[in-house]
Amino acid sequence: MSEYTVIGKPALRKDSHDKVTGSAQFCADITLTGMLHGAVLRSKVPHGIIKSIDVSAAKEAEGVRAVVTGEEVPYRLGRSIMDQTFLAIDKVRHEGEPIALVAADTLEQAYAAVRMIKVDIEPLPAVNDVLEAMKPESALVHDRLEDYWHVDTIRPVNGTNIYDHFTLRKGDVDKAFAEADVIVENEYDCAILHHAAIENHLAIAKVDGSGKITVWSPAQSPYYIRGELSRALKVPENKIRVIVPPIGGGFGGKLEARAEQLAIALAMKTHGRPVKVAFSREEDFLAGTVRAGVHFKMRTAARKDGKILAVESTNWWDSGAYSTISPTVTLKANVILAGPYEVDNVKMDGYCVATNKQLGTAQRGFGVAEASYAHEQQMDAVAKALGMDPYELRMKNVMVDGCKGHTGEKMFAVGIKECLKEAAEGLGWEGHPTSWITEDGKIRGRGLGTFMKFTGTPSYTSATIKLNFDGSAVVSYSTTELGQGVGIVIPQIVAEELGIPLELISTVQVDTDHTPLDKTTTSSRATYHLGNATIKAAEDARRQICQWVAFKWKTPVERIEFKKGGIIVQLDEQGKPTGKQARMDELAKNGLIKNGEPILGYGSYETTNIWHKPDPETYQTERLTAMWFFGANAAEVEIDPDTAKIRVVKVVAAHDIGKTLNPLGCLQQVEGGVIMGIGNTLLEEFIHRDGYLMNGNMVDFKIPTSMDSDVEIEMRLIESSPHPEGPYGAKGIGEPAMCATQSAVASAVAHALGVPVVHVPIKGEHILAACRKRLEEANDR
Amino acid sequence: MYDFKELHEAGSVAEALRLTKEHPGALILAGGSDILIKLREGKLAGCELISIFGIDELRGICLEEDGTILIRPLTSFTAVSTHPVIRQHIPVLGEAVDQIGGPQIRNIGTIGGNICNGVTSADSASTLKAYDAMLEITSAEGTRVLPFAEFNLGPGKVDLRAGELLTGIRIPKESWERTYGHYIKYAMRRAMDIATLGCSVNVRLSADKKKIERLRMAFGVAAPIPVRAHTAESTAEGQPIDEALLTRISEAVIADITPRSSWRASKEFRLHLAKEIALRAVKAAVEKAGGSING
Repeated sequence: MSEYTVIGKPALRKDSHDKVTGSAQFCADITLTGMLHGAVLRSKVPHGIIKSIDVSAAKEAEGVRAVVTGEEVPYRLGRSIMDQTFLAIDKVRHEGEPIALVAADTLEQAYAAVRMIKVDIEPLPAVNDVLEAMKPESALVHDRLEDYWHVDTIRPVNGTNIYDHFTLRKGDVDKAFAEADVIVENEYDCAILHHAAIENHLAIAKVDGSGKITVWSPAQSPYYIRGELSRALKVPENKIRVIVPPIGGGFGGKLEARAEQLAIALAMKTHGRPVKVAFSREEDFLAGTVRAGVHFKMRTAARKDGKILAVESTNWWDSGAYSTISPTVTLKANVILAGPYEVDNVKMDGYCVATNKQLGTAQRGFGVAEASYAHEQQMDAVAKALGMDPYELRMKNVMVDGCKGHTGEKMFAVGIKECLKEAAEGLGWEGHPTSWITEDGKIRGRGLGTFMKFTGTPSYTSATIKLNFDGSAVVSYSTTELGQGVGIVIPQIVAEELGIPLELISTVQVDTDHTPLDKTTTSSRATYHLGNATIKAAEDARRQICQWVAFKWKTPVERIEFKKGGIIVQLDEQGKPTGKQARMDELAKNGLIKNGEPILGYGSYETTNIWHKPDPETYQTERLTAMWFFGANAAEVEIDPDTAKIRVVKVVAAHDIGKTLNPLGCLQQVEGGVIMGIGNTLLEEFIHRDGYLMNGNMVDFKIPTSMDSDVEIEMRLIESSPHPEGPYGAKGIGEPAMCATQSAVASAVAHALGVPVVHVPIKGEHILAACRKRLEEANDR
Repeated sequence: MYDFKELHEAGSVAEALRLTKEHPGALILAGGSDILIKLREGKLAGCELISIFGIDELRGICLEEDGTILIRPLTSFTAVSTHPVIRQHIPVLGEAVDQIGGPQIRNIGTIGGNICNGVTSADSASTLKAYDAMLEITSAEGTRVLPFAEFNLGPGKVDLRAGELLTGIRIPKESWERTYGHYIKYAMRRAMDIATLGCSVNVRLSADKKKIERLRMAFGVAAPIPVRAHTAESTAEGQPIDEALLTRISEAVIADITPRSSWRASKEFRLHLAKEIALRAVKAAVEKAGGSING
């Protein structure tokens, strides 16, 4: 029998009913009294000098209440580098960059007025390619990157397009390569992807008489956005309030302020009237955010027996016109680019690069899915060079507890070996070929993908639990519900800790004026961080409950025991139960806390104390993160050799979850992650010509439809390596759910065809020749 | 935003013809699934629209006395694919239009709109072309009949003159009787996608089902407009059915098509696909007709 009553049992999300029936009120559904509608004039060219802007006709247009141009709002944004203004001022750096704003009584009037703005832009050559951008003769996206304010952990370089150059150095790579039996060298490419959340970026802003700014926005991380806006506007944080309606998907894309600053710029001129700025789908493609493209150069050294001796890489991230949080993406990918393997010698150089394209930012995994694809292609190539089974090679090298990680830290709670074993077993790996031809002439292949990822540290969060006299509870926190299921896992923890029925526990709308402090909703951190904070809040609530009950029962508080499952027991002087007791799930009936001292439990969790700042050159440290995630996918694909169509037949996804809190939630994450990963691998890409986006719409940017999702998905949750500091031992699953799908599918295709996959998405025309060759080889035999 | 000057709604063909005369240059709006996208993109800013969507006399499918299948242009894709006449005599047309967009688009989009839009990727066009459809075009001056083969003048351009309206699509009995068709749409996704290449074929076999008596084949996205593959067709005429014939047909396709490279796919890949899906479509059609590839 489980030691828990609620934890580990499937629980239905609390927001499902509202979202399925359409009664949920998203930001787009909100209309405030006196609200105006904003529209944005955007750059039609990817790079150019603004010669003039004439807004005179727009100002006079019907219904127009405010018009704003860049010079009026010269505020700078940027988490890593403050390189971005609210509106373009002298120069435009990407197609779709906002240039001017209009607020009008109706959206139609706002659009009409935007069309009346005359803007004269002298086009400049666009920096379209990340490798071209690195050349000394390349045009510059920003003239002097160092001159912008930037965080001291990154290194922008003046006179180049380099936002940051990240370095990691461990061991002696040159020596290892000199001693290697086998060296495998390859280059890989990942296209730019879009988050394509069902809800576009949008915001409503209002500035009241005292100058207080209120923003309604589907902000993934409202306190982060508040901080960004505060720094940009030079307004204290207490003068900015961010209210978060239900969010229609984030995937990392809602981390950055996109519509918020535009709505505020207008609201500063509308005398208290709120302004809504809602991106159209086309605007979201051009001026939302993207996952950066990346080009990897990889070199791996191995010994004859399969031991990986060294991994070396230089890689360039196509981070677009403004840096946002991309340097962190580059960092996170490079830290794990040698894979979840014990490698003594590692050398990484990651360049975060500016181009005249859309803004690269976080996307589910922070670069790990791309890195996993590259390191797993390398593992397959090493296996091939050594004539070893790809599974065996990986098993031989996987990290184990106590080993030294790529950052030099001593690893613990490492579940990768079990994950890999389970993933391979789920597909029936042993004794089965990795490539074969079916009776009807299709090419099948099997592949493996592993990943490791760390959660951003240091970090902090907090929660409160309010008990109502009727025995219900309200839990407040500022981690947002993006679909990852925080809104059910946290109530589950409250239910477990206090013995209150799950259905009596509700959550509240995140609002920086009301809900407690939280760093971000990113990095698969919610269950771990907020879960720990919630356990502490429940402890605090229990202490208060016991105190009140002690008073009510006229018993010293030491003789009140709060037992598991929420039974409050009176003890006698010997510590034995007197028989007097009350149940937390009967508070409504027993009136135990009614009209008593109100109970409000508070708990917080933060990880500054466990974090050691890495060396800026080597990135070696004693401890980098609160939590490492591990996982493995095994995939089988079928390729039609004549049309080069790839179908993913099955994916087995094994995840080092530590402890499963909500198996239903995990399944939803894993299914969504696998399908998203398949879309990333086979379908999705931004296609640019000279900086112009060719396919910025939902027909031409191809996310999988339900018709494309008929893949057999088997989830295996591994609980053999619980996290000693996690709530009940739990780690995270949000990003992990998709981090190894791209690599496993690419591995399966590479095995099927016998050639490495050097570009994702894998397009039919890229593999057609390989399909032919594979069939010819089969016929020769 | 939907920026247009005026919308005129016609209740009858006569009214529509009058409106086209009164508003030269106005666009004909049927289901709107193509025009609304362009409107939203601002490409038709300030245009005038004449909606014919309310003209019920332009809806429906029937078998005329002489065996001609008449499809009125406002018939939705869903209505086409579920209509008994289509299902019985030219099911391939239903199969083709069933691959357009998603269910909502198929409920609103019309077959007439699909071909009048004039794009090469129109999923109904290759089948209608392969069946030698005849178009009934009406104006205030009367009616003219035009082979669909002559309708597409260039990308997005069709032979509809000012004041004219497509009022009927006819497939003569001689064209459809004893035929079996197959349509293959090659696209990146299984729904909600535009064809990278489309191929519609129909075959009529000899009585003993050993020979192809007649082959009809047409492509979408293999040229700037939907095209018939006459070389491939004549290669098959009267020939005994075997693998070698399929290969010859497939090779012959190259003479009939002129695909281009775009960011969606390269010319070479489209040429390869055209040969491959032509072969598969002929094979499937032959099998539907009761023939067999290997005797």
